[in-house]
Amino acid sequence: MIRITGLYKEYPNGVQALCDVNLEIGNGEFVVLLGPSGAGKSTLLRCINGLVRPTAGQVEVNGVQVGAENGSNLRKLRRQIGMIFQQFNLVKRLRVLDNVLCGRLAYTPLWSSCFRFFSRRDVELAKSCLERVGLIDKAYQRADQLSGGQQQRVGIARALVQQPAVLLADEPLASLDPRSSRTVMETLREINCQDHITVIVSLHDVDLAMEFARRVVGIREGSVIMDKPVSQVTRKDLEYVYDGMATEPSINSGTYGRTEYAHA
Amino acid sequence: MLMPDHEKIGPAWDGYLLLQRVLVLALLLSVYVWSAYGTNLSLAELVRGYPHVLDFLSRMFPPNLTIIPELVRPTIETIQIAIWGTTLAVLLAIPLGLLAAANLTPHPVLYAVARIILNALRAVSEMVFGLIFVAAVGLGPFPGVLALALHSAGMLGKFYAEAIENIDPGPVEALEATGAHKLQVIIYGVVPQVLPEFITYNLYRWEHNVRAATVLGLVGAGGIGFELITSMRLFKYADTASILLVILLTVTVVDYISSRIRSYVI
Repeated sequence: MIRITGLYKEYPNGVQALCDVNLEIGNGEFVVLLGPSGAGKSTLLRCINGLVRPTAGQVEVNGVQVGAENGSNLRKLRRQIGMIFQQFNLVKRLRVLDNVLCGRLAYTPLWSSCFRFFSRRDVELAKSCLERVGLIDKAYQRADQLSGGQQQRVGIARALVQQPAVLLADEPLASLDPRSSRTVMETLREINCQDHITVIVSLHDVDLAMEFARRVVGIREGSVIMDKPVSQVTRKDLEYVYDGMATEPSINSGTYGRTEYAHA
Repeated sequence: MLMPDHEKIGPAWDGYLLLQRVLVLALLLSVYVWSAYGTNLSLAELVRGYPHVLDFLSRMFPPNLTIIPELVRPTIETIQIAIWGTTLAVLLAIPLGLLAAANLTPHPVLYAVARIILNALRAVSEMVFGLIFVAAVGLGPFPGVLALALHSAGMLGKFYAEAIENIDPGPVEALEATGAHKLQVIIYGVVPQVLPEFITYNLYRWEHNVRAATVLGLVGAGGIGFELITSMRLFKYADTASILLVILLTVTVVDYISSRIRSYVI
């Protein structure tokens, strides 16, 4: 259970990324966050695993409060929260298997990980995760030799090997072609159904969102403006999430240009 | 519509540019003239001194090759000074470089302190460190090792810090998100990204330190430089010539080895 109450985030440069976000996400849900670029989706996801510290408000994951914790407790909490990224964020010069094993670092004693030593059990687990995403034959290749879609699946394996309760995905399809996007979404759905891992994905692609989500949360200018089961989401809802933002700047810049012209 | 504007702005802009160029040239020229006075730069002196240069060179020939067996030991010592000097420098520079990288430093105060230490180490040259350590631990190769270690640590630490600041932050964020310890994030997320640069910088530094070690002997800090200064003080210019030949050969071989290692590793 993730409980977000009264969450605000203002970045040092003055950008108000989140504005009074309240959200409850139950175990095993599949939630898609929709909204235009800069709406605050990434910030919201990063508040859940403490990568971003909120200005005000609280996030609670399975009864543990995020952010109020000191270093070692925050790390223990992050262990249960896997994350995948738009740019995959693999360590390019490491082998695929080593990248997946990075997901076990928080379970590995510091001294043995300094010598790149992982237990046999962790290596077996990493291999089984690679098998699940269909990349076991690439285990010993360098990560940067893989295609974008394959790299994203390695990213999923790295999150899976954490044996997390929650999986956060920040625009996981934005750098992928349509076919790889579908494979990634299918893998996420499978993880959600079989392992009962809560999945929270931020997406741009409305069609894929409607196909895979069970609950859709619309975010605009840092606030939740829609929160519905996917079956109740209408076309008008989606327009409301996206359009308000998309049209305003173009009108503004148009006026600005015209005034300039008039003065000249 | 655009044409009149263009014609109006064009010439004025050209005049401004010309003035700017003349001013910059005049400034540069005056700096050079001023520095020439400061350094007694004089073509006449060079011409007048020309016979002495010829005399010096003629006394160097033929080089006294019979002393070469005696040069083997100091040459090896020079390379050994460079090996230990560079290694100690790397060991010193790693923690300093980590602290001096804005994206990894645990605290702004540590960052500032590390930067100040690195600047101080770089500001003092190998020769000056050599003089200090000869006074502190006595004549011989050991003060040479210490001198190279400290100055090189300043150079390497700055390079490491810059390499670390240029890494892709994505993998670091991803590893932090798995709950990994900061040290684990560095070993798995940062080290693989900076490793090629790290190796290149260290090899360059080793090459440089071999060259630096050949002159450290001038201040009594061991190596072949000691033979060089001795031969010159005794006016044995034929020996000097042999020593210079040996230095040239050593530096060439070391550069070759270093570039081979580099191409093999990277």
